[in-house]
Amino acid sequence: MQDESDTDDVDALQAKLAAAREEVGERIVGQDEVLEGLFVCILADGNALLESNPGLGKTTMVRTLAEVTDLAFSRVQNTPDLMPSDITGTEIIRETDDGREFVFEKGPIFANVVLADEINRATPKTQAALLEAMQERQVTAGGETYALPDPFFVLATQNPIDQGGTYALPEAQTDRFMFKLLVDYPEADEERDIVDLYTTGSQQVPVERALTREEIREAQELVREVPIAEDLRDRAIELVRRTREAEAVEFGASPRASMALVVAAKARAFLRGRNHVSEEDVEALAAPVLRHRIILDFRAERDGQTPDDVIADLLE
Amino acid sequence: MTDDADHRARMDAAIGAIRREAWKAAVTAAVVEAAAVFLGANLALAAVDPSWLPDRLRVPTSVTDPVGSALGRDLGTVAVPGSATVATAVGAVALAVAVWLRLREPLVEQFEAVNPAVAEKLRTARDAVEADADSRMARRLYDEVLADLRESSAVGLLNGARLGAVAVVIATLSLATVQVAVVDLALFDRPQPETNGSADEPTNYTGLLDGDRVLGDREEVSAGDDNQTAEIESSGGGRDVEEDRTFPDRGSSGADGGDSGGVDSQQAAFAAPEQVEDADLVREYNRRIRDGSDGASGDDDGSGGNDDGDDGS
Repeated sequence: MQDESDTDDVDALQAKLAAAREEVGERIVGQDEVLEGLFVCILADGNALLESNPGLGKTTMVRTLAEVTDLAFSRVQNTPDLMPSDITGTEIIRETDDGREFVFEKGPIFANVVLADEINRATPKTQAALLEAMQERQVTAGGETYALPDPFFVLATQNPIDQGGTYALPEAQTDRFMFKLLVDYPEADEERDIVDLYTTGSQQVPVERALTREEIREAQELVREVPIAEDLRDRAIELVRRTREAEAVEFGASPRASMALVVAAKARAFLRGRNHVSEEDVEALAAPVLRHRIILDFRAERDGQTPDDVIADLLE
Repeated sequence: MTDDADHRARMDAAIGAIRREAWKAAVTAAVVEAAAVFLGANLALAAVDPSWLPDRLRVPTSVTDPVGSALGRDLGTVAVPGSATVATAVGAVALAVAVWLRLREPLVEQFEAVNPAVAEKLRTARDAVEADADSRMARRLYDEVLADLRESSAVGLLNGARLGAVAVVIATLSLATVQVAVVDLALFDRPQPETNGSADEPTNYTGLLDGDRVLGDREEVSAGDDNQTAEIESSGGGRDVEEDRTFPDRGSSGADGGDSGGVDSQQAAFAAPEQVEDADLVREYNRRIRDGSDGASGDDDGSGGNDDGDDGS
C-alpha cells in the first residue's frame, strides 16, 4: 500500500512538472532545450547562466518560470555602477520608538528565484558578492548571517563576452553555475509564432501556477534518489577527467563538474519520467555542464574550435 | 521481511533467474556445436583411418568393475571403438571450450545485449540492488524492471541462424557417418601387416569386409583342357609308391591363360604330438607290437599292425 502511495506521489509530481513546462511553453515559443535545462537546474538545485544576444527572451523565460512555480522572484539588473550591497542588502538606520537602530534591509537576493540580468555588466566586485551568496546560500552583513530562502536559484543572463561594456566572469565563479545554457536565435516558423503571440491580443500571455515550492523541494529529494548505473557514473567522471588531459584544453573541469553532471543527469531522467539515469542524459548534459568550466588552448581557439566542439570530441 | 527488502529480494531473484536462463542458453548452444564437432571428428577419423588408432580400445577394469558391480553382473572385457572414443574426447573438449567462450562475458550482460529495451534499467537496477538501494525511486525502478522482464525473453541469447546452420551441419555429418559406416569410405588404405604370403597365419577379425575388395574385379577365364589322372593308394602306409607321378606345380599351368590356375605347394600340416605321460606304458605297447609282428608274419602282410587309426582308406 505504501508502495502504491509512493508511486502515485512520484507520478503526480512528474505530471506537475510536465504541466509547468507546458505553461512556460505558452509564453516561450521554442527554446525547448533551454527550458528543459532550466527545469533540470531547478530540480538539481543548481544555478544557471544563460548566454545569448539581447532580445531572445531570456528574462521573460526566467520570469515565467518563477510565475508557474510559486516561487518568490526578484530581478537584479546589473550595471557597472551596481554595488554589492545593492544585491545582498545593507544596514540602514531606522527610527523606532526606542530611538534609532541599525536594521538589515534585505536585498533582491532574498528570493527563491533571482534573475541576475546581464551579470557580466556588473563589476567583478559585485559579481563576486552575488556568486558568493549563491554558493554559500547565506549573506553576512554587519556581523550577522542571514540565510537565503529555500529553494534558491540564481538564473543569470549574460551577453557574449565580445560585446562592449562587459566584465568576463572569473573562471572560479563560473564554476559555481551548474549550467551554462546558450540561447540561440529561433527558427523562422518559431519567430513567426513569437511575433504573432506578442503582437496580437494582450501583451502578456497569462500562465497558471503549476508547482508549489514544497513540491519542488520534494522533487529535489527524489532526484537525488534516482539510481544511476555504476558504469554510467564512471563514464561521467571519466569525461570530466578527460577535460584535464585533452590537448585542446588548457584548464579542465573540477570535481564539482563531475558532481554536477551526475546530479543533473538524474534530474533530467526524473523530468522525463524515468526511474533511472540513461546514457543519453549524460551525453545531453555534458556540454551545458562543461562548456563554461574549461578554457581552451590558444591553438584550439586559433583553429576556431569552441568548447562544445571539444566536449563533443571527448564524448566520442 | 520488510517491504523494501522484499523489493530488493524480488529484484535479486529476477537477476538470478536471468543468470540461469542465460546459462541454459549458453550450454544449449555449446552442446549443439559440440555435437557437430563430435560428428565431424568421427567422420574424419573413419575417412582417414589413421594407423596409430586401434580399432577398439579396451575399457580399464577399474571402470568396468564398479559399473559391473553396480549392475549386478560381470561385464567381462569391454572395448569401445577407437575412432568413436577419440571423437567423443574431441567433442567434450569442444563443449568445454564453447561453454567457456560463452561464459566469459557476464551472463546478465549477455541478456541485456539481446534485450536492449530493458538493458539500461536492468543494469541500473543490478547496481542498485548491489548497493542495497531502497529509496522510492529505486523501488519504482525495481517494479519497472520486473514488469519489463515479464515481457522480455532469453531466447535471443540463442543465435537462431547459427543454430540452424549447425543443425544442417549435424544432419549432413550424420548422413555422411552412416554412409561411411556402410560403405567404408576410407581415403587411405590401412597398411596391411606383413604375412609373407602365408595363408594359414591367424588374422584378427576386423568385421565384414567388402567382397569386391577381397576378390578383386570380376574377369572371364577359359576352362582348362589338360586332364591329369591321379591315383591314390588305397592301402595303408608303410609301402613305397612304385612309380613316380607328376602333379601340376607352379610352373605348369592348369588352365590356359590363367595365372591363378597354379597350385602352390604347401607343407603338410600335422598335429602336435600328444604328450605321453606314461613311458612304461609306451614301452610295453611297443613290445607287444613287435611280438605280435613276429608271431603273425606268416598269416598277415603286416597291415594288421596298423590298427591305430589307419582304417585302409
